[in-house]
Amino acid sequence: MRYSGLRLLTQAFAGNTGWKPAWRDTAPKSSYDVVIVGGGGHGLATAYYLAREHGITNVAVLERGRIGLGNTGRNTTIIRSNYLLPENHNFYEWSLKLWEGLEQDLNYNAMVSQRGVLNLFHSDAARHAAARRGNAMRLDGIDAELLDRAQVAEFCPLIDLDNARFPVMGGLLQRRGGTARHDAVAWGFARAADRRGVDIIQECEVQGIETEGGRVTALRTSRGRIRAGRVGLAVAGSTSLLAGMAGFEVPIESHVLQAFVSEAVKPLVHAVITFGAGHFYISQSDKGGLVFGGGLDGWNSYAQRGNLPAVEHVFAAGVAMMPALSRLRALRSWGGMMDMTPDGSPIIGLTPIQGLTMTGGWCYGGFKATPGSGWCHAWTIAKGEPHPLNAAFTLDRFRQGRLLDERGAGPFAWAQ
Amino acid sequence: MSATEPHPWLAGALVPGRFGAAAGEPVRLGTRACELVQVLARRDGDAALQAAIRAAGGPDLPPPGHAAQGERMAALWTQPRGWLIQAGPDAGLARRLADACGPAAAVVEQTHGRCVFTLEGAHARAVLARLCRVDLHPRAFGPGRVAVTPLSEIAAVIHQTGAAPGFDIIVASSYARAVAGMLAAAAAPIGYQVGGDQMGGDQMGGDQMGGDRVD
Amino acid sequence: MIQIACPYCGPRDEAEFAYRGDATVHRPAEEAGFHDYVYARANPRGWHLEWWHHTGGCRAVLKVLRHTATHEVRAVGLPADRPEPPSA
Repeated sequence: MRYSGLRLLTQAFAGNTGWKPAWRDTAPKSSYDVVIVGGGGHGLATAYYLAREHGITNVAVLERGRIGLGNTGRNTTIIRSNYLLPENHNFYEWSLKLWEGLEQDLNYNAMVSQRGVLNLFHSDAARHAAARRGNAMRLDGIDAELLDRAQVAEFCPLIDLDNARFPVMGGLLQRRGGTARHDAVAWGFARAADRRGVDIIQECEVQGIETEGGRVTALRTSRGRIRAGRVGLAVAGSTSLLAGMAGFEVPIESHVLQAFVSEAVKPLVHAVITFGAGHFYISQSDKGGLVFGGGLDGWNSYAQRGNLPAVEHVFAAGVAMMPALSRLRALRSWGGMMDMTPDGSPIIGLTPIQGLTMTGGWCYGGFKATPGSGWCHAWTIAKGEPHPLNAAFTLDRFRQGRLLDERGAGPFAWAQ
Repeated sequence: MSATEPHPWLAGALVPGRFGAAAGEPVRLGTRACELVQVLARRDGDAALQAAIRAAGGPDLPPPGHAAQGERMAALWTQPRGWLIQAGPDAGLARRLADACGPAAAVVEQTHGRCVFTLEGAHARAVLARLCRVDLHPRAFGPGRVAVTPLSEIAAVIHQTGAAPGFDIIVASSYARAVAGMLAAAAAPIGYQVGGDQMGGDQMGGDQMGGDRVD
Repeated sequence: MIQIACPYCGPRDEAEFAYRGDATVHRPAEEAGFHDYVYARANPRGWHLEWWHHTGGCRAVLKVLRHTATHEVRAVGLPADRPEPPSA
């Protein structure tokens, strides 16, 4: 069923009785050409682009729970491509370009909103770093603007420019950045993949990965054994566990990152604003709630729930940046699991097991990468080798010394 | 500058008078002039350090979480094999301990590196409870006990000196001004007294964060 | 919220500590082992032996056995201690 304004109108007059489920809830077949493990945004995007770009439709996506209820729905929904390193910003820019046409492509309203992402800076050194990052982006054709104090004040009057400890000196603005609705992205990809013949299998937990002579052959799942010559892992947060089933170790630690939403208020923050002197970022949802988050809790966790010291830190940073926030009440908080890598950059590509590919190690970057990750992962599965856009994101770059250390934080996953 | 002079970082931060809530018994907030020396035993130096402290009129070095009072100085445990030695002002303590310890211990003069606040009164625990996470209830803490713990975000040594209760709060001097403000703000809802009973003439308030002076 | 019972200071809030990662990796004698030492992590969903530095207290480096799904702290020791994960 194609969604359109006309369909909405006719359904309205028909009492909304004609809507069909957005995707079939299928039982697994015994064998597929490709099985994607993980029915979050990345796995569903992989399946969708496998079908659309490469004509591979005998594909199953296995999801342990229900679509949209995992870590896909546990982030702050920001999309952007404002990275320093070319490998990173070119990849994220491709992802941003896919976001720009995504809703038409999927025929699904993912509420993509290019409202701008502004990174504040508070010192000469940070200004220099922002200018350098902006210039690096512009050299590759990505939009970036350096704002001074007056322009920041005009762009977002709510920001306290004269914070005693961290006065704002300016900001780096990417106008094409913005937000999207996270669970709608998963649902949109699920529906679009389903329409191209992909089987979406929910409540199907992978319990073992079978290999033969270094090749993947089948998956043992809670709903039976499924044979597949090609398997893609898209299970960020739990990558180590799945890699362990296949018998290899990944340079990843699982950490929890919290996010928060306030009570709904009238339009207050019209873009995504990030604080430069602490880890804090904020935007406003269409419902009016302010959506914000900060840094990791800082120690290994698979719990999908956070702890109070990180809450205190996030709120303190938020109030330092926008003192008016102190009058708001937080409504909800949630914790998402992050695959943290030692260099803060993802891993998309081949693994030591033939036929087994992965997209993971997303650190903070997972949501904005969703279409790009799926697109590159699908290419890697279809061609048996990475696309130039993800060629640098190899699993063995740490062994080779080709790190993509965007932040220069050193090999400490929790410091990325 | 001798140890008896007030810390320059605190100039104007704490001035005599009664501040905050007017009713009830206030806590008393002040500073203590004393010498402070940090001692850290080097490898195999524990016995020599103990001997040097005792020879200088100090106590047996206390175990973790405790302080001990000797004839001429007190010792506060601050970390494994590390203590803060506290003596009256102008005792020339650091030189004497360094000479006595030789290579057995690292002896570091801290008189001007740290600032000692005093907080006394029936409600002193309630003031500290606003700022630190350590359980100071009498069944968990008491006179002669020491806790090394952040006060809000600032590293501090909390030493209960008396049953009243009274506490010494030792922080880095560079943070003293911030801590004075924090203590004043935490004490304001209870009310606090700085200095003796007489008011400080026409000195009004200083830059304490805790509210208006009560005249 | 985690509380870690420091062997020196007693039970203290996690905010007093700095996390220093997996305590099961050991610096190898040979260069060949360095990739695994620096980067590879078991990252278990379960009992995890890890370093915590009591930066806000006594400065001791502690070895903590903690569950990564429940956050339960089962044992806290000094660097020479070898707390064993409870048998399942």
